[in-house]
Amino acid sequence: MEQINYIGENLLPGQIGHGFIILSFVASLLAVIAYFFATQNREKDLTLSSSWNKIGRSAFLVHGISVFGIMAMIFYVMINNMFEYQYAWEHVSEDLPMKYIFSAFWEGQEGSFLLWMFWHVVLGVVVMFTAKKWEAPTMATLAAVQLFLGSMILGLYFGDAEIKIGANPLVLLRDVNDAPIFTRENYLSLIEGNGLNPLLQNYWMTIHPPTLFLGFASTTIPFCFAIAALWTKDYKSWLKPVLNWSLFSAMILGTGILMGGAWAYEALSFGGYWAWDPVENSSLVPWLILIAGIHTAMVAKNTGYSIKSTFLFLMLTFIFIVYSTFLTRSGILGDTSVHAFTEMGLEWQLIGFLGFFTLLGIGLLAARWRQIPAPKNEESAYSREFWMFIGSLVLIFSAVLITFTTSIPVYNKIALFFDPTFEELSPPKEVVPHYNKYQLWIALLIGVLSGVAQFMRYKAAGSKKALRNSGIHLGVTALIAAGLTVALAFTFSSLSWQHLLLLWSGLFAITSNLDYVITVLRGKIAISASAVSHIGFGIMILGILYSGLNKNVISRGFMEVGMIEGFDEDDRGNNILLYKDLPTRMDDYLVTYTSDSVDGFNRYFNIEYQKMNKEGKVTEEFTLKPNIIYDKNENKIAASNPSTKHYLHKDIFTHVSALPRSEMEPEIAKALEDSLKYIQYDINLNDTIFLSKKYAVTFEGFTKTPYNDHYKPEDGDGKLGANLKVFIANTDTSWMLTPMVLTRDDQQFVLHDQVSEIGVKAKIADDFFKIEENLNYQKYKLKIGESTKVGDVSITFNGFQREINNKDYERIEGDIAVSAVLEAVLNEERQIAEPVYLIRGQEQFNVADEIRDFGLKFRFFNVNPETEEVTLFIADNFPKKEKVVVEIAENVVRNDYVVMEAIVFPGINLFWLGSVMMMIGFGMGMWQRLRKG
Amino acid sequence: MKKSHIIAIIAIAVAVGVLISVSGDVDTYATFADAMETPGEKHKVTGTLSKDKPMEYDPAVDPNYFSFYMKDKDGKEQKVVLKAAKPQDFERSESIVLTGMMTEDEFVATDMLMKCPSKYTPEEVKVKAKS
Repeated sequence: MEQINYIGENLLPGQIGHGFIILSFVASLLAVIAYFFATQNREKDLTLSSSWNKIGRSAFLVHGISVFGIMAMIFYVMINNMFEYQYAWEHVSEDLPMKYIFSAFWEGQEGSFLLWMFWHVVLGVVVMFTAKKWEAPTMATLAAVQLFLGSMILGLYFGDAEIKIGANPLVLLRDVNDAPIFTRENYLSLIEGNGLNPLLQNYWMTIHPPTLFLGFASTTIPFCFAIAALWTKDYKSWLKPVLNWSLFSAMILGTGILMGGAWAYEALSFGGYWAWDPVENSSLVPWLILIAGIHTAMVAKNTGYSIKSTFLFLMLTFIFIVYSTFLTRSGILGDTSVHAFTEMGLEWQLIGFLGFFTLLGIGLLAARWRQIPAPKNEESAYSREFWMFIGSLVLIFSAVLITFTTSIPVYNKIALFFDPTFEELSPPKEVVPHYNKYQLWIALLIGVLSGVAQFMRYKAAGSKKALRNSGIHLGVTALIAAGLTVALAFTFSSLSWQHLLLLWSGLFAITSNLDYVITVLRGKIAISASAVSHIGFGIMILGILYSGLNKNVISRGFMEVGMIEGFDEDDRGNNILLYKDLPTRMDDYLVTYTSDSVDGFNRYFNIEYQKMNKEGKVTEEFTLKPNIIYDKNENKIAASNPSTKHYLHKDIFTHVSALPRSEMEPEIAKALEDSLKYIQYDINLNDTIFLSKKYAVTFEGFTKTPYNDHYKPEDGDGKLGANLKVFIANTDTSWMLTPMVLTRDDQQFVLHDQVSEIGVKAKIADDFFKIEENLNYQKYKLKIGESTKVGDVSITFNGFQREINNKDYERIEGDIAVSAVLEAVLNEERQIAEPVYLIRGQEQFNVADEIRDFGLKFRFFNVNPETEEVTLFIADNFPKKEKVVVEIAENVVRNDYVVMEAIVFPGINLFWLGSVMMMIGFGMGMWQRLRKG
Repeated sequence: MKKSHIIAIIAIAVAVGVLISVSGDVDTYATFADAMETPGEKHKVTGTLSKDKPMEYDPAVDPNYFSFYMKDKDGKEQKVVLKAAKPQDFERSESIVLTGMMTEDEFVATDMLMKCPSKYTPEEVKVKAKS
């Protein structure tokens, strides 16, 4: 192919970036090798080992700097809108606000891999300088993980791009896209960026991914410690550092997952915080395994039991993070999830990543299994370690169940690989109830165990008396919880016996742990990390029960039950249509759609809620502003964002689910307008005409300050509106219509007006502008004092006037204006007209004046400065009555409404409070351990 | 017998039992023909939108009624009614998964999942409106 010299391309950042990509990959490989030998030689040859260690450090630091370098180059091409780069072209556009540059960076797979690597570098540096004897073996493993992640962005192609390794984030657009435009050397000046998906243009997209990926990255560190411990056959001393790292990880990963839920709830119209979507599940599963691992690690550290489980669980945590990466990034979830990444052809590489570390971890554990120490005697059933272990098993069981269902697409892929005729399995028909019915028992058991284990001692220490004492505490708190359950049961709209049990279990977790803090820990908050987490868990359960069971869709219309066979009340639609200004009752509220406003691509709808007491007095009032975002290219709706009223005890969630068709699709709006039948009417001032239906219209005069929904005032606008009163004959019912003419930047616009309720629409007719055109102006030249006759009217030019007295003239600074004072006499009746001549800027203008009673209109065309003779144009067929010419259409389809959904979530703050307390508990635990040293 | 063995046996037994029960919820994807055989029973049907057939959604008439035609994996076309608002960008969906049941002449869906993979990674290069 012919070489084309493209204009305006800047290839340097791409070349630098590519250099960093290669360097980071090679450096991570070197770090693996160096740290490997540092580990292998540490018992044989300490000097050799420490030299290798130094090389490893340098290599990892070079790797880290290279990762920063790659990111810097990508940011550089994105910030500068260099669309010759595919990644910039795909994720930014010229009109993308700078605050979304981070979101745009990690919107794509390559960027999010880099974000993950970035956190590994940061955490790696911390490990490097704090892990001491663990540095070499953990860093060797971490560098190996970076090697695999780095391969995802290598972008190496073999054999006509049949085999590719990774996707280079700095690839040129013209290299991956063969659109015909790339045959033009100036293509770069012709193309525009694709931009960030409007759904992702919010602050959640800025904070959720970095938190989640820090969570992901932080699970790698416990994995590295586990590998290191097995590798160096040091099965005990790793427990202390790994416990800190695991608590950190549990806190960050948990926060990341919660942020995802909060995003779904606050900013997306999902109508909930958790939907058991495969993408959500796949990050919850590793967290559950991690929590199990934390519990067994505590057992192992305090008693020596459960070391093997700790190895297994902490390694599985990371393995399931990689599995979740595989699920969300391979495109395999396409049919079952609403928010997976799109596929990129990295499936086999991801499988390799998963396979390598699974085999490494599990293989090493199997090889060392028999060497790992375990106490000879079994743990006592009255010991804390026993119940903590049971709790961990329950968590693992939860993870197994979730993974089993989430992995259905994987079974399909595997089966299809071996048998192309395989009939694909589908996920459960009712996904949410499916998960809920099993996880309910998990949550119930966890609630109970979190209380019971607290009152046991490690190694069953303590006397029989102490044990009996614990039994009494547990019994009493269980009874208190039962009492509370009975009392609270009445606050639920419906409660099955399973839910009743779960409610009790949540309450028991709260009461028993509170008791533990007060009686055992004597109220020392600093050491009650576990109790804080467990109380948080109990509160979260209450929140889930309240928001889930008492959730109330208040926007359900009155239905037509039995309209469709086989469907009942529950299948009634959740959306309701609200006409503008027409209050509609929803539950306790009177809801009114009052207005809307446009800001950029956003359109906000004001939805007023009023709560009334029995006397009909408004006791509470608030406005929600859900909005929609228009697609910048197609004028279609790209996203709908909810608005939520928060109370301490409940939330009222509102989002717009549809608009009139004419508002959603421009073609339909045009077709609708074209289908209207306009009829033209000439209406004199204060005259009334009758439309074809029962309506009558009176012209009440012109206004210079028209009130029209379609008009947004700007400085310098010229505007004229016609006030039309529409009414039903012999009634007091009337509406105002103000069609108007707008002059802006020397262009004239006709703005229609509409009374949606009665389907009447009016606009100023073209013929209105012809009134002026049809005037029969004649030219007259007069000096001061001279007279002339126009028809029967005699007109005398009385002189000039510098104080302008003409209603149509508005003075602007710098005007040179003069009016001609003309006296008109007809049958003894005397009237004055003052047409204006002015110079504004460099141009001459004139402002007409009229004497309506005589049917005259005057224009002051120019003046001869020497002779003071004026040139006038006078028309004598000016309408003697003020009139307007309008076109009016009837039977106009209403378009003044929104379709919305409103849901009340009671007790949702309990969910957030409880889950945040859990995270705080992890943080407290870590802090306390770090302080103890 | 050691306590850990008893626990292991119980755990495995519970796990097997629950997993068997979970498997009961797992099904295969149905076709419209399957759904027609058992009207009033819920099915999951996959397919693609018939873009040449009419789509109907007029909130002024019923904000919870959206109808369209879908072609299932056997190529059979069927009118589908979704008792909800029309989802944004529906026209661009590449594949659709419906959950619902057959009535006399329509498939009434209670849940719908659509896949629009090329939505924000377009193949075409957009040319500036003003150059």
